Amino acid sequence: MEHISTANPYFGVFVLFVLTFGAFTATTIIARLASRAMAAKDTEKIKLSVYECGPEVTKQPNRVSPQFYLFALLFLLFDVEIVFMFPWAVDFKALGWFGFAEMLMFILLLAIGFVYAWKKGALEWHNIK
Amino acid sequence: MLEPVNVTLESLNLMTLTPMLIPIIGALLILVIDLFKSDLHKSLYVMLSILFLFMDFAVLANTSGVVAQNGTLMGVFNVMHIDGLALLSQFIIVIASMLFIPLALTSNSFHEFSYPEFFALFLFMISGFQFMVATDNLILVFVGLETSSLALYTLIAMHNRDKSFEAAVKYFTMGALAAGFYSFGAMIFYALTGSVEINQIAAVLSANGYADIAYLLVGVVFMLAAFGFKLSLVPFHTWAPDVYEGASAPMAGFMSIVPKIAAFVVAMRIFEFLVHSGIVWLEVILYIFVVVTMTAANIWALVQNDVKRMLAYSSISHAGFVMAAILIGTTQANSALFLYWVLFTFTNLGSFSMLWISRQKHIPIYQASDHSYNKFAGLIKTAPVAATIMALFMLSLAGIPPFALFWGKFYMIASAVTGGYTILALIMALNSAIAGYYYLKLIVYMFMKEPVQGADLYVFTNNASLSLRTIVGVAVMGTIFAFVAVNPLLEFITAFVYNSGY
Repeated sequence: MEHISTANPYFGVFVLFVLTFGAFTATTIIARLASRAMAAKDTEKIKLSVYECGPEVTKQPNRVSPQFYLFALLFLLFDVEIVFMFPWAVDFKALGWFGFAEMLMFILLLAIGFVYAWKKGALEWHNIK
Repeated sequence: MLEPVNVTLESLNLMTLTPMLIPIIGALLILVIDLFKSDLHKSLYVMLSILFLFMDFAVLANTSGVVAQNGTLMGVFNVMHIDGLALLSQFIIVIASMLFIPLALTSNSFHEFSYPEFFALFLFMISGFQFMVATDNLILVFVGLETSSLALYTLIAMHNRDKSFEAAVKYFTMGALAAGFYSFGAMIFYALTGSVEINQIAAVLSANGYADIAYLLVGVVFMLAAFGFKLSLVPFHTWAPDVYEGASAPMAGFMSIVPKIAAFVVAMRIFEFLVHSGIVWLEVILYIFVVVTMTAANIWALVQNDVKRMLAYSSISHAGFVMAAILIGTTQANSALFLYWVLFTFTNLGSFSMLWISRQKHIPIYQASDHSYNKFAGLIKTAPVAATIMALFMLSLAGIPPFALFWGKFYMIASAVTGGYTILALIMALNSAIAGYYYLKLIVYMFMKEPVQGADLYVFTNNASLSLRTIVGVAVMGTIFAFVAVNPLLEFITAFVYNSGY
């Protein structure tokens, strides 16, 4: 019986899923314990007093350029492309000409997007038309 | 080793996919043209969009011939599902889009139309709506919904005023919520039946006698909320007036027609088998939805000071009115829905185009908002033709015979009576009477009040170019001569609706 459940191709994914949950919880707990143990405890009176608003707001020294978001989006676009291409390459023979044509169309659509982004200057730093 | 997949072109039945591919190719072409030659005049892009939409229309007409002969077409691994409903709604979508896109050719220049991306996004959006209606598969419906909605949010934001950004963000937030509800509802349906195809879901559910009624109701609640947002039914309508006010008038008019017909078709596919399955709960809740949407929206429209907001509430009320067809569920009611929407398309196209023609760059002091009632005071003295045309559309919206929407209301109420919903028919008739008040209020302003002192008299023609006049002319023709077209149109619609089994 247990052989069948471990032979399932998605068993590995399931194990990863469980481990991720464990790792996530463990990281949170460790971070909390560590900060509690290692933080410098400053019991100054002013620090413990109630926060009152009204102080001058300091300007954020380094503003995040919107270019980062653009780059992240473009990266995501082509990253997803690769995610589709790996399983396609593995099953290339089984999918045959149909799969080939589909993938060509997919790449063509993405290529138009890529040329568009390039021509509009999205790939150059601080030079968006 | 996997078995090689053999897919023949015949089994794909690419004919089902061609109507959606044409606008996509058009949109890509527009983007590529812009890359290699920028600063072309917007009229080129408008003409290209109309050309591709016309090709789309021709292909649809061809497909409709095949469907009329051979019945429902399936294609692309049985994901595409072209039946009468899909074809009728695609006709409405494509024709309405063809009529709305020339509104970009105004004599004043507006920021958004100088971008070719506007037209590319417009075509992508249309293909999204077409995918939404031409499938039986909940996943493809979702993909079509998202494609079209994301393009639509961007198109609204491109109007480049503070109110437009506000409108786009509000619409986006509400749309994201609706998409979440939709996917959750679809997930529950899939969990219950093991299929994402609506036919299959209906078959499995009726085979096991709606055994898991509790889960089913949860799924139905999520679906109702999702379509409530998309169709702006009353508890979920709050975004609509603000979005209509912030969007440019053509976009607002477009939003009141095309996304709603797409959502109506999907709602019809999902809800009709559930309403008549003997689950009383859904029938009751739909009844409440319809009555509350009609009545509350009408009452809110009474107190609006802005004509565009009034039209927004009026289109919410019209959506509630038409939603009654899904509750009644007979072939007659479903045909009345499509007839109503065709007639509503012409009337609403006209009234929003009139608002667009009178769009000002700067709002003068005596006007509280962009299209306040004051602006239209005494219009019959300053611009008699514009006043008469606007009055015509208002009379049609109010359902005064012989103008277009009278026939829509007439057939809708008649189908309610024959369907056995006499009280509903009575409520619908009463609501038409309430609605008369706020449409006539505008007419009173235009015909019986004096113009505001120092008002700019040229505002009602300053945006009118030949193409805008033509579109208004088409809408006027459609509104006045509807009585000639109603009978053949209804026969055409009924044949298609009956053939697809609704």
